[in-house]
Amino acid sequence: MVYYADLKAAIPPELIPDFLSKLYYVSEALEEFNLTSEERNRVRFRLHPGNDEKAEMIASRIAEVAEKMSHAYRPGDTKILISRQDHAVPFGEDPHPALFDLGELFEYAPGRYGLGAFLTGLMEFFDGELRRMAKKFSAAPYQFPSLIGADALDRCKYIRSFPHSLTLVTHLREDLESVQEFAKNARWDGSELSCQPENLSGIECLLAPSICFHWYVWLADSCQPESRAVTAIGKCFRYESGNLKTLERLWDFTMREIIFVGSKQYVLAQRQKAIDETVALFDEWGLSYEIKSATDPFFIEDYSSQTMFQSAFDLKYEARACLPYKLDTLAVGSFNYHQDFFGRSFSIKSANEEPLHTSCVGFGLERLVLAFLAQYGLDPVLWPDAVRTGMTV
Amino acid sequence: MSQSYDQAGSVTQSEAEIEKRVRSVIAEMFHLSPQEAEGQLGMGNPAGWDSLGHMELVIQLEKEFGVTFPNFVLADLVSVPAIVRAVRDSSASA
Repeated sequence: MVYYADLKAAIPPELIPDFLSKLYYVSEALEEFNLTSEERNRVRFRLHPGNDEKAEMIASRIAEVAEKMSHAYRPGDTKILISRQDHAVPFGEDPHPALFDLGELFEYAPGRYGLGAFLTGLMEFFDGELRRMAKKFSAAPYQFPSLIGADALDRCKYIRSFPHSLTLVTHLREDLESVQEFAKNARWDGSELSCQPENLSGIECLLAPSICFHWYVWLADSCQPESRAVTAIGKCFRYESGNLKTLERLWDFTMREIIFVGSKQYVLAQRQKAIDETVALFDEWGLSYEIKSATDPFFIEDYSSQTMFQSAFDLKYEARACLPYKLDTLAVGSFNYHQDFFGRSFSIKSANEEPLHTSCVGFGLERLVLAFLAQYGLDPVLWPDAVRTGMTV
Repeated sequence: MSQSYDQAGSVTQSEAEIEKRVRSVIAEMFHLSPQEAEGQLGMGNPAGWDSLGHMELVIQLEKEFGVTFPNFVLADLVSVPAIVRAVRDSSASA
């Protein structure tokens, strides 16, 4: 049966993708939903069997999501820093089927993939180039854990702003009876590990959603007389529910970041330099892409305020590579300025006790690989020299 | 109250009057005492005037003055004098 949720106001066209992406979090009973571009004030939805009595509640929740995301929303002015979208590329097919056929890609579950030697080699090539870029910033190489303390994410309000994408970590309580009970009764039930929640510990850690937080925690409650840059590669985890899709959107992905801490002038200058270096690198790789202003995928409560703030203050740019097979673009890198937000949140101060400013640039390596293969295919004969000769196939 | 009429008959306000109303909006939004409201206010002071608070403040100011700030000035509204100037400019061009 089809149900409808009537919204108080029409969703602005540019808000539709973000709005729909949030509807996956409305209810587990929601099977599918749609908002047509002609009828932007009405969501059509279906429920999983046996949930008809929830239709009214779910319609009300959908309306709430719309209201909160649209509240005070105003379209930002998109700034395009560079466009290479008209750069011709020789390939146009979706590379996923061929990668599966070749045994180069294995799907464990939506959002979780294994990569074979060819893809791993390409990822290592791109990362090597990005490390070379990081050296131009004198960025010291660091290594961080995949786990991050809940205290850290709470301290910088990440838990409030992105609750939907958190990946919580638990373990068994240090209690003999609980461990024994768990070992005896916990079983995979076909969709999840069935166990007694009271045997599980509280949430001390999460899987890190980003790399740069680790360094801010490292510098917390300190005075940094000098501006500093570090670089690190690591796994990031962002749960995206029904939005998880192929290599385009992973739950568990690999990110190379270069992170800057210092004065406002320093971190902004480094961000601009990173944009310039990225343009040089992407041009060398022959990519079709653009770099434009962007906002983060905040959850509904803070969505309009935070996205407007990011737009107004020029805080975020994304490098978006073309995916010819779907006539769309995919964010493969971002250039972020946080003002003194993390300096204040983590009490990272300058010699004169002022909160320091931070910026970071990050590249999603699986997405870079996907975008490159989507534009050039799997046969290295078609690849630009810089990539073909640089990569050990 | 210091107000006058421009040639079109609209009510115009002195900058002092605008500043008083701006401080009142900030004080109400961030729960400031009258003394605090008279002090030097700007983004980061009070502490609630952060990225979230800023856009909410912009919305409240727009309601108070019946104006819509253009996007390009939103990042400038980080102090009382800057807000007063923006209100004056927006009112003049309304």
